[in-house]
Amino acid sequence: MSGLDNNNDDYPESGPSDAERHALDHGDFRPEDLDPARPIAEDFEIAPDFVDSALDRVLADQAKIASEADRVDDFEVPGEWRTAYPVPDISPDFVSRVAAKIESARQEAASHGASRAASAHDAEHRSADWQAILANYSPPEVTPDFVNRTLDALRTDRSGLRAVPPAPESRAGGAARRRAAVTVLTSLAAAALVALGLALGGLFDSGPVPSPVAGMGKDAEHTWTTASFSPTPWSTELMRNAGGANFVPFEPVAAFNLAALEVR
Amino acid sequence: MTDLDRQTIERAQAGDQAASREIIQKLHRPIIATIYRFLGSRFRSEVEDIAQDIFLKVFRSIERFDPDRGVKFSTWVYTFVRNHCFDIIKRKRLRTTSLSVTRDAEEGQIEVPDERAALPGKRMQNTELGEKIEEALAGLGEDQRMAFVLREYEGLDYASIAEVMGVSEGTVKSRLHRAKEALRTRLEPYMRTGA
Repeated sequence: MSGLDNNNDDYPESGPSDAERHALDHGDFRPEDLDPARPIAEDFEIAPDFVDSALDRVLADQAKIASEADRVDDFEVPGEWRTAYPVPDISPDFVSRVAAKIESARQEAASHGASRAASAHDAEHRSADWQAILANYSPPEVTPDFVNRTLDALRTDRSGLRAVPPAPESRAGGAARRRAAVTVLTSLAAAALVALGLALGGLFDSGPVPSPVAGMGKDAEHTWTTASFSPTPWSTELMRNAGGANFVPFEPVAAFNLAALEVR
Repeated sequence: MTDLDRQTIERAQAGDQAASREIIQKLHRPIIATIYRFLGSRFRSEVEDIAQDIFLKVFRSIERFDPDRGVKFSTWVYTFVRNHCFDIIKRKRLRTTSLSVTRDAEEGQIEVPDERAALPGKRMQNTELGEKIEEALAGLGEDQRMAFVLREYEGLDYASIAEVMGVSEGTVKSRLHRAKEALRTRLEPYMRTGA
């Protein structure tokens, strides 16, 4: 115990070191932390004789304790020391008061326990409800040949694009609004990419440059990504190959002649 | 101290009110006496509240007591007494410590000057020797004082005190030896006069 313990606000404890924290967490030090040759800090070195001097002090302390312990009965405490220093009378109702308080604390704890159990039960139900919602939710069906059809149409005639079939009645409402929001966001993101795609297409394609295609989708980690490309023969083939197994059309944006692609 | 029977403890662990009352009934007197002698008469008005807090802590944790570990229930309870009393001293020290602290070279502890020394007329002690004993006890380090009170006033054996204090029996005996030497030195004049 040190005097600094009395001034916690002025001298906040720095807490255990990394090595000590590891020892506390794992019940042992890491082997590298036990290496005596490992430096602690640039300007700090352990004294070469630290182990010897520490051991000397420990042994001296142990010897002193053993010597004092051997003499514990040297002095017999006089009986009058006990009688001359009595304790005050205890309130007659002390036991009853404490017993009542303990019972009250028990009931309160039980009440909190019941409350916690009820909360857990509610959470379980909410979770079950959520699972049911997820189980009943599925993304809209997409025309099986959408990718190929879209890419072919873009390569040849943009009039070949057609809108995604309307959502089934059961998915109207919230799903429709969600799709609309996604469409707007996709359009905005794609619009920016169209400009980029135009620039890139102009740089790398010497022939006639059709309008670029922008896509927006999620990768395997469900991270939203966007892509744009000019539908030249090589880029179309590339996207077709990539999309063969992994790409599924998500939302076509006919107004911009764009296709939103979702990566599964 | 005779210990409580296992059945009573297990009933209390199960929440039985009568068993809980039995434990309080059996242990409250030695606990209050230990608190009073350890903290001193300046805490006289608070001793029962402190004891009550200790019982609340004990019963909050009573499910953790394992009779098969070989430690007596009363000894286990005394660990709560010791820890709670030390916490009180620590909090008191945080409030009252000034630059005038002195170091106990032997124990490496910081001792706060006892304010009671300046207020002898306000003490409520039966005899002059009683007052001197209290003063002398207050001058001991906390570990020595607790060991002395548990051994000489409450009659705990060395093994139990070692369990309560979390040290070896040898260390307990060493502290007791130091405590008795210090008390003998401080109280010798009063012993000669027969108090």
